Amino acid sequence: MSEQTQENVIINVKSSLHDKVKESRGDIVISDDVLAAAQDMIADMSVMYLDWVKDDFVRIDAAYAELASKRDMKSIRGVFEIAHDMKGQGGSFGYDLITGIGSSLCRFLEIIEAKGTCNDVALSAIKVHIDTMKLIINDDIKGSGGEIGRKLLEGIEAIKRKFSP
Amino acid sequence: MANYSLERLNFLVVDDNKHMRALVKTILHAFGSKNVHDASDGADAFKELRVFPADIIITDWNMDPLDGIDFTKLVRTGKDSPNPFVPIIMLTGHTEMHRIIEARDSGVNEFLAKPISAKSLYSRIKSIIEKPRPFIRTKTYFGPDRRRRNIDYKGIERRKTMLEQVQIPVKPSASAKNPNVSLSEDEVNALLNK
Repeated sequence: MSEQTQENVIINVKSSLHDKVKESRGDIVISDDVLAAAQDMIADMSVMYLDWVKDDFVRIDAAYAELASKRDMKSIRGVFEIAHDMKGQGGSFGYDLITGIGSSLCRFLEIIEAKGTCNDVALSAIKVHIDTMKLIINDDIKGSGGEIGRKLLEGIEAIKRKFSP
Repeated sequence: MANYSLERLNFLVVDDNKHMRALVKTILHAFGSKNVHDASDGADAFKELRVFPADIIITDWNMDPLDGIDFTKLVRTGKDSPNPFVPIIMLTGHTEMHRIIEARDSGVNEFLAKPISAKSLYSRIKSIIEKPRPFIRTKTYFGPDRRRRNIDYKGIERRKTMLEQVQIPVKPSASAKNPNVSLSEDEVNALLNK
């Protein structure tokens, strides 16, 4: 069924999803217990995540080496894509600082990309981000990291301030 | 409704990162879903849609050759789209205001920021099931109604750009001045529920 105005058509779509979930007779329901079990399954994947993130470090090191050599915006994008993936995964497995520092690195790379040039200070700041993420994984710093986490974030902010676009 | 079984729902998970696909599929399986297919980019996903009747699509943004935005537009407006009305959840690390608006204007139903949890993914699925929205076709847009509140408005739509409508009911923040600043989950929800 649709209603039409001079400019818009409104279409009321009959959704079958509600009936589909309602008519199901499976034992599994989305109760708090199921949600907790699903979250536990994510926690169980943390061991796999540590392997994944090691692969990410290999890839981001290679991307960084290419950036250090070429200093071009294509290489910036290469580092960005990996940092963006890392940002999106860390927090799911309890490594909130990987998400936070990954996010900081993404924003920083966007600034450099907008500027169009990557100088030595910018390169150092990128390296500090990557090394800090490695430290977080090597020392198994989960959550906010407490006092150590605060100092790491302060260090990141300090080196970013040295960069003047 | 307090409890669901998602057993009979077909999910299509689209992400170029195999680890993210594994994570999302694990959560969906834990929810009881039996039919979860995946694809590594928008083009593959569009092919998959022709043979797999997905009830809900969960798609990443950054993918080659077809990203999540263009994939959503293709599903919504492509002449050969198997299901222009299929609910789509955009799952992405992009949380800047202009990105959220771009995703909404492409025709996604829900926006979910990475990193995800079982609870956050479920909240978006639940919203799609419990709060289906009518679709709107204008000269420039086809997709779910971008206004989520029911407004008994009989007159002519006179919307201008979505950016003009953004009024986030939170304390003034850096994001309000700079569309490139990342939004918190609360800010994202406030923006989408405007």
